[in-house]
Amino acid sequence: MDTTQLLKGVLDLAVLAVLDEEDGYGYDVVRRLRAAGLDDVADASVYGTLRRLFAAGHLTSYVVPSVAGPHRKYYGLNASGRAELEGSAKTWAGFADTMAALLAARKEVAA
Amino acid sequence: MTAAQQAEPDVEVRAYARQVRAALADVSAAQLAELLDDLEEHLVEVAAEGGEPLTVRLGPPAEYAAELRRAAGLAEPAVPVDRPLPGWRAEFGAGVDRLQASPAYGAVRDFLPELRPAWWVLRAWAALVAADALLAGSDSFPVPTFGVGPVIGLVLTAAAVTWSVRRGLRVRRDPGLAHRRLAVAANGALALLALVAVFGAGGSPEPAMAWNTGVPSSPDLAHEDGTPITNIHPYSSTGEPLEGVLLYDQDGRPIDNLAPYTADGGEVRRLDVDPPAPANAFPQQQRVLTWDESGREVWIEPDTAPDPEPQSEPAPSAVPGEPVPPADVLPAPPVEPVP
Repeated sequence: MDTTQLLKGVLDLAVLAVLDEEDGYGYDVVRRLRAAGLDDVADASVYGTLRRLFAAGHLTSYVVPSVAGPHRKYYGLNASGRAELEGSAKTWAGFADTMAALLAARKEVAA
Repeated sequence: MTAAQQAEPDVEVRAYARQVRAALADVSAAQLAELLDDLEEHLVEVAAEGGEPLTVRLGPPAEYAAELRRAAGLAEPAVPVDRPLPGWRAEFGAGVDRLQASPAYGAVRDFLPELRPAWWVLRAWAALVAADALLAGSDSFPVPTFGVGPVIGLVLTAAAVTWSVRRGLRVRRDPGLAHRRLAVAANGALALLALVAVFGAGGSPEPAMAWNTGVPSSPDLAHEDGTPITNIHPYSSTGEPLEGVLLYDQDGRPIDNLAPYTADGGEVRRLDVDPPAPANAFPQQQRVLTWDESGREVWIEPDTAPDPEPQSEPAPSAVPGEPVPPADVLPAPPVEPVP
C-alpha cells in the first residue's frame, strides 16, 4: 500500500505532534518525521503543511539567526495549535481503532 | 572543500529555486513570499548533505512546486505549468542566475513590461511583412504591399496592429484567457519571422533595399575603383567640348547624382548659372574645396567665362575633383562607351 496516500491525510497531525515535542524549522521537522519512521514524507509537503498550519493560525514562527549556516524560520505550537493537535489526535485514535478492529475481525473470519 | 565545490551547490540551489518559483508564477506575490520564505535555506541544507543532485533528492522543481502548492492548500495553477527540461535548460538557468544577481538586471526586468504595447504593434507589422515576403514574394520592406499596393498594405497593417493591441490588452486584463504556451510559441515564431524578414531584406541586393516610395536611393556616381565622379565633361566625336548636355538614364530619369565630395574629401558645390540649368546639365559649374600646403581651406573657382580653350589646359593639376582630361587625349576623346 502506498503510504504517501495515507500520509496526506495525517501529515497535519504528524507535523503538529513533532512541533509539540519541540519547536523546529522546516528541514528539522522533515528529519524528525523521517526519524520517526515516516520515510516517504516529501520535503515540499512538510514545508507546505507548515505554511498552511501557520496561515490557519495554529503556529507561531520566529527567525533564528545563525552564524555558520542560513537563518532559520522556527515554528512552534500556540494554543490554537495545541487544541488542533488534541482534536486531530482523538480523531486519529478513533479512526485507527476502527481500522484495527475491522482488520482484526477480518482476520478472525479468515482464521 | 575547494572553492569550486562550494560554488557548485550555490548555482544548483539557485537554479532549482528559480525553477520552483517559475512553476509558482501564478501565485500572488504575498503568498509566494510566505510560501518560499526559506526555500533557498532548505535547498542549501539539502545540498550541503552532499550526494545526489537536488533534482534527484527532491524530484524535479516543478513537482516540488506542485507538492508545496498542494500541501499549502493553494489553488491549482489555472494554466498548466511547463515542465522544465533538465539538460540545456538547467545550464541555461545557471547562467540566468548569475545574470539575475546583477542590479542592472532588476532594473531592466522591471522596465520590460512597459515595452509590451510596442511589441504588440511590432509583432503585427512583422507578421504582415513576413507573410508578404513569404506568400507574395514581395520585397517591399517597410510597408507590406502583397503585390497590390501600399494602400492595401497600410490598411492591412492598421487592422493587424489594432487586433494585436486589443488582444494584448485583453490578455493583460485577464491572464487566464491566454493559452500561455501557445502565446509564447506564437510570439517566438513572430520574432523569428521578423528577424528573417528584416535580415532577408537587408541581405538581398540593392533593389530590395530601395524603399518603394519613388525616391531614388542610388549611390553617388563613382568609378569601379571607388573614385568619386564629381563632374562630367561631354565631348563631341570630333573632340569639341560640349556645353549644357542633358544626361538621362535608360528610364528617362535625369542623371544628377554626382558625388558631392572629391576623393580627397573636398566638398564639391554646384554653382548657379545664368540662365539656370537643370541638375543634369553637364559640365557643371562647380567650386571645389581643397587645402593648401599649410592646411588652409581653399575654394577652387571655375572660370567665370567658360571657354573651350582654357578648359583644355591641363594647368590646375592640383585641383582634385576637376578631372580635366589630359591634353594629349583631348583631340581624340574617349569614343568607346564607358562601361
